Amino acid sequence: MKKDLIKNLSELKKISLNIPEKEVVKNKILKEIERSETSVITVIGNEIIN
Amino acid sequence: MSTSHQNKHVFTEIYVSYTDPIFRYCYFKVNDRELAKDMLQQSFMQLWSYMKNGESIENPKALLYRIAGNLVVDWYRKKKAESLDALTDAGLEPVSIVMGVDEIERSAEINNMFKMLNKIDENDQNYIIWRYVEDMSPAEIALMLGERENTVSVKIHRAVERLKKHLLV
Repeated sequence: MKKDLIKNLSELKKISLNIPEKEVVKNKILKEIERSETSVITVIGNEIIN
Repeated sequence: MSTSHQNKHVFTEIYVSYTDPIFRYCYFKVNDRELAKDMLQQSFMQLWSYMKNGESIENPKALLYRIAGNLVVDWYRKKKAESLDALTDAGLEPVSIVMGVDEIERSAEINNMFKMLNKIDENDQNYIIWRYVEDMSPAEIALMLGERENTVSVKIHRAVERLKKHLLV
């Protein structure tokens, strides 16, 4: 029974993101990273100007 | 190559390696694919913050599980009025499982297993997910949690016994 249980548990690995979904999430993250870096540069730039 | 570019390169490698395990972990906990994707995104954003701040990350997998775990706890705190049992009883199923037509028969078993996992204690659930879904060795789990390997092995064994009892009911 334990063997079957473990086999069934390993089937849960099939729950995953497909490649386009992974790309969408990755792009969202990279966009957020770019955005946060740009806003830091803007703040520094404004401080220098002022 | 600048530190920022190096960080982004390392970050992308970590993303490729741990997207599915962290997504699954969140999904098993919240039973909602879109929410799990949001949590995945937030987990990696927090990881990026650590990297950007120059904090040393010895075990990104452990850190990601910890971040994702905290996000899940926060979500449950906000949603405590809505029990997980109510959600599963309402017919929420692990949809969009990536599988071929010949594997559809297996989907019933996957769904059953998914429901069973949601009925056991959260700690038991974690040990079972890490050991039998993500194929992590007891030594690897022990390292991630800062526990002894023997302790982890015992906890895995007990978690499986408890899961078996649920399956027999």
